[in-house]
Amino acid sequence: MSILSKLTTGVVGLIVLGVGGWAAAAIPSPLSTGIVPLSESITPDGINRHLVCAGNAVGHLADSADATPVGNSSLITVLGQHGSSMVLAGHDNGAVIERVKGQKFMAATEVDSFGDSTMVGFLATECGDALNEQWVAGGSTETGRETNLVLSNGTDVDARVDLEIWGTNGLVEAPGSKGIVVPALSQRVYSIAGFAPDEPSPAVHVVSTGAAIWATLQVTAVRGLVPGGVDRIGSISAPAATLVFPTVRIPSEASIGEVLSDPAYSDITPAIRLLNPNEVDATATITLVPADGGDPQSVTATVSAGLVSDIALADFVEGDWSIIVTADQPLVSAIRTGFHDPNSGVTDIAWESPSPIYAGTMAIAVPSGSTLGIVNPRSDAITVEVSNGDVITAIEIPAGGSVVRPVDSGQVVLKSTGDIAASIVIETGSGIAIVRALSEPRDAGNVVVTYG
Amino acid sequence: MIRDSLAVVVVVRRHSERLSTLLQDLKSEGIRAGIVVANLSGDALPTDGDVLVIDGTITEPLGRAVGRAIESTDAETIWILRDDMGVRPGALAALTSVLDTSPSVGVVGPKVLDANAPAVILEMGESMTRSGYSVALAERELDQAQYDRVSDVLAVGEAGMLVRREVWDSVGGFDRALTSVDAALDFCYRARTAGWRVEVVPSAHVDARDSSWESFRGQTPRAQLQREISRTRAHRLLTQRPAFVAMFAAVGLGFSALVRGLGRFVQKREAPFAEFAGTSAAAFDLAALARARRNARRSRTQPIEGSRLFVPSSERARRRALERDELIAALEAADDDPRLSFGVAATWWMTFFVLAGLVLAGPLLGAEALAGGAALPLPSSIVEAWSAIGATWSEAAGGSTVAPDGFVAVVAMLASLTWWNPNALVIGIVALAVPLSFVAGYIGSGVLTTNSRTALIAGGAWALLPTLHIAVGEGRLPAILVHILLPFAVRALFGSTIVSIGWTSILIAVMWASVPSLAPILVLGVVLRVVTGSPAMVLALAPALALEWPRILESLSRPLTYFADRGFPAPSTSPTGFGVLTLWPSTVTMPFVDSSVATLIALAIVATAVVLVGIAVIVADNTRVGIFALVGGVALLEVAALSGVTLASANGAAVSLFTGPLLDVVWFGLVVGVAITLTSLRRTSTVLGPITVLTIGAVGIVPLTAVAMGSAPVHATTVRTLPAYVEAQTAIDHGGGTVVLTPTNDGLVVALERDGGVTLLDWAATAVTRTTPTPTERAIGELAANLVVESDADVIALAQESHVSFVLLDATVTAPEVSTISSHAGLVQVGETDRGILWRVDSAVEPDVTDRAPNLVYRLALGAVGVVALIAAVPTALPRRRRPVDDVVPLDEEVDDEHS
Repeated sequence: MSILSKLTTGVVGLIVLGVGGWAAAAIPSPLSTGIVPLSESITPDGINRHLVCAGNAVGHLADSADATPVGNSSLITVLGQHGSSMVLAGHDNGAVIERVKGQKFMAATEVDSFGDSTMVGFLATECGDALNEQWVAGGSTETGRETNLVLSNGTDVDARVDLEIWGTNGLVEAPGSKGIVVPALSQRVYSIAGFAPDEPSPAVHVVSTGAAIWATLQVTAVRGLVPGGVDRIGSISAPAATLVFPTVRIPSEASIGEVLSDPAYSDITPAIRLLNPNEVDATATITLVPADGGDPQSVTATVSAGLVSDIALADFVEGDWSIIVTADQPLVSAIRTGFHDPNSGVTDIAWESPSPIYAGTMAIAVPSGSTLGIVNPRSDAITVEVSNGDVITAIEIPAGGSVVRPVDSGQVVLKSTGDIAASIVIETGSGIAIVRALSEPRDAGNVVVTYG
Repeated sequence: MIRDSLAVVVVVRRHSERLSTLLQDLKSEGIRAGIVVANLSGDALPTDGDVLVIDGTITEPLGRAVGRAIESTDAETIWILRDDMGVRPGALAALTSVLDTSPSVGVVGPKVLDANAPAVILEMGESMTRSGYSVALAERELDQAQYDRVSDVLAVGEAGMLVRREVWDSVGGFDRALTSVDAALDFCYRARTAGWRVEVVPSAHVDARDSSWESFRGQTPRAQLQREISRTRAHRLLTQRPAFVAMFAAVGLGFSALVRGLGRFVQKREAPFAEFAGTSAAAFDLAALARARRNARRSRTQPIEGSRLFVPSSERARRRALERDELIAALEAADDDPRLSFGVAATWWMTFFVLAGLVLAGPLLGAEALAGGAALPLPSSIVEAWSAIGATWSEAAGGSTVAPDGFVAVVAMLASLTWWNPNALVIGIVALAVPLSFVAGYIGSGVLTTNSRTALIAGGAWALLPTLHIAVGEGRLPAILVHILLPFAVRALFGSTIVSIGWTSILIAVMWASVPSLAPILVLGVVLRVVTGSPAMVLALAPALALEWPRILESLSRPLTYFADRGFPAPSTSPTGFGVLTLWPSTVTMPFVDSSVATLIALAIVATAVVLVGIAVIVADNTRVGIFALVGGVALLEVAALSGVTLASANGAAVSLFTGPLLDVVWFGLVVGVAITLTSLRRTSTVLGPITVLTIGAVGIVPLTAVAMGSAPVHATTVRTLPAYVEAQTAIDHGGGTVVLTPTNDGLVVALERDGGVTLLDWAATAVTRTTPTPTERAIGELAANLVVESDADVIALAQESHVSFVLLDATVTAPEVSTISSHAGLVQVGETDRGILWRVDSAVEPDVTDRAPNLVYRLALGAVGVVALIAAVPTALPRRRRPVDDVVPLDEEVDDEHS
């Protein structure tokens, strides 16, 4: 074959190769087949739901070693019906709220206020769905602080529970934290100080096999001989990369200013606790959004792998804020805020876990006049229908923004077509507390089924 | 004296013009009277008055003509001559002297020499083996007096045969059924059994031009002669054997002729069944057999004495071996194109790659089966695998009706290679992928070059390409098959014999059925070959179409979905934009560098390769480099058209094309072009070659070692995909279904598997390209949605409707779904298994045993086309026994690239 024929075919071939390469690199394909992963949203028939209420606060009567229910909490429900109650140390405590067939949403809140010589403060907590695995951070086991983990088993099957306690120095070696049996329809209380003494920033990972349980942390504070601070924290189901706290009330300088100089009151200042349970360091961006508009402010923090760190939120203007935490790893978090009445001297703290981000219908049982905060963590605005009693309003929330509204006692129902998070902050004369709006447990309302 | 009573019969058939010469010869021999001419030619003959002329037709056998010719005389001796013969002086005298002196001799024959080459013996005496094959004692040999001591023979030929009249009459002349071939052999045989002796007289010389067949029928195709030879052999055998033995002999003859015919058919020889046709014709001509047997029985008085008269079959074998050697020598002399040979260096490299491949696939070697990525186990019994060929029901996607899938058929047929354990096929392919690719690259480069050094570089690079190793890491069996088979197919495509067409058709079928997106390239290749002078190559598309026609017909309404990769669809992360030009099927990763730097390095390598290919266009010794670049460009156009388009969906993931096979088409041209350019630099090619191969290995080191380091998705697994409890239960109750639930972030993935689980053969193309869920899937979806919440629905009734006996939750024990599923009455938790948590439906569930019949038309068509392709692919070329070497012994530096 001659040079010319070789050159001709060669040049033609290389030109076609070049054209093909350019087409593959530069031109996106205009074709489409219309095939998408097959998934459907199926509504199951008549879903049951059980909300477990932890009942009264626990304390030690007459210096006894056992924890028993103290106080007298009241239970407010939105729809639902009372089921059985649980047993703690021989006393009936807590309740299980069951869904009534046909009711679309359900919520329950327990409130109690204390003002005696051992406990002072205001406690309000949502009743939550029992889980097999949950995380809760909060409290402290330093001098004067008591943190009790209450495990409530509202089912008729025993639960076998394993605990992991994390702290500022990482996972705590805690003998006795595995294999805890919580019998059917009963509660068990464990002091975190028994597992991790002198731990300023505990966080707990509760894993239950057998029955699903509801775990709460009860925090009490005594400064010297003066009690001041009670709260109960509900848990979250799993660490997440996006965590939302819709109602963080930064107390005014006027109210807490007088006690700030006292180091014993250091836990009144607002702070956020972050646990990184992964093996890689995480970088978290904490964005504080002023409620009802304004410029958000961000703080970046690095949370080392396996450690808990508390970050103070001291230098922010008083008022209602919403906090959105975004991180490159899933984290566990909780926020703390404080209350002090300079006139009565009552001091209270409020801890809360992040509100679940959910699209659908959520409800909160509101015990008394409080402030509702709704956060829109999405990248576009959304309209949420809020019904408070008989009043229904449509509220528009900008992208990444939040909105606060006063609400009356009773029920608050939120209907949204996109992801939102909501909670209420209740401030009374006896203290402050935050109650979250909980979502339906996974898969209940609409199950998205993908066909494999 | 014999001369006094001699009748000379001259049979004139085709050479009537030679008659006068022959008569002249006879006159000079002293024969004046007694000449009878049997004029079978139909022409008018110029004869003298004293010659008697008998007329006949041209199709009259010689024996019959002689018989009629001697009716009118009462001569005691008959001399049979033909019109193509010449008589040398002294021939008749020699012949008659033997008859005069030996009264026991009944038939004598002369030495027949070739009239065109007077020193060559045409024929002299005939014999046969004990099994009936006729053997000429001397056949087209130079006459060097080697046979001049021969006297007693079994038979002589008809040309120049001098026979006593009483022998002719008592034996009954030539057998009417034998027209020319072996007629004289049979006559002399019967004369021998009647007690007469037959002798050949070497001092009697006659000339002849034709053999008995040629003089009877003229020039005919070889097949007709073969047929006649086997017919006469069968006839003679069946005549000579006793009656009882003859029946079995007939069956034996027919059967062996059929078997030999099949052997010739497979070896692509011409007229393979001529022998069978002749044998059958003789066996069924019962009238002729009866007549011949009666005739023989009448004249038989004794068995033939003297085993020395028969030729041992070893002699026949020796002669056949000599013929074969001549044929081989002729073929070798004609075939002097230089060809790429698989030499010592290639064998060493292949051994190295076998070891390298075993090391790289180390973790997978002892596995029962492979899973992960796109890999799934195959059924554990070969019968189950075969029943998937042509199956119209697939258990994937909850069970749906599908068109028979070509890839399923290919894998099931390939699994026959490891019939004891079909999964060993997949593991074997993965373990041997590297050495097989080396051999493929080596052999495939034979299309463009004959230099073994070039081929070594090309093979080494082909074995280390990232397209192969990414496919191995992701368990993509279709892509691995294409990578191994593509160069073989290219080499076969450029052949021109039936064997090449057979191989091309098989390889194209396997590649087409595995990766349908290659179909346009394959068709383009075949069209190019058809257009450039090999029109029969269009048949190479037949097996592919036989595998794929149901799927093609089905996808006519949505043509793009035809190009979805076969097997289990696993998502791939194809590079986009200029990353495509790295010719990697997924994003480039290299150790120690960032992915953008790695992309730049890969782009640089491709650019270098293109430049070297440009040089190869000029340096190569044929124009095919340009054609390969062109086909590569077409493949890139197809990548441009199809990349990023969702072609299938499975497990909730949208799957687009795995571009590996299309990029392989481009890589092949690049690799061989680069190899050609490098070896054209003679001094440095010994260094540059291994460096190039090592560079390609180093650039692709991450996918190369992915399996060995355990970072590849594919891993060893057990053969079943469901827990052992389910497998054991469904072995007893076939058809029991298991709902498999996998929770995800925003929902769950639901699948239904029957019996021991879904295998690779269940994933038919129809199922993965569906756009709506099947009714079974909808039912399962509702069941699953009600299972994972505490709902009031009667999940047991839903399970019974869908024939579901088990629920498997693919999650840890602490997942929230565990308690919700357990809360439904009627589900008994079996426990935690290696696949998740298992529940059993605690009421009787009827197994789904609807029998889905496979598509029999598909199976039959595929079987027929497959058998034809396999027979065509059986090699017929006689092996080259010696390479043609130049007379000049080359020195090291002067090695001629054409022949090194």
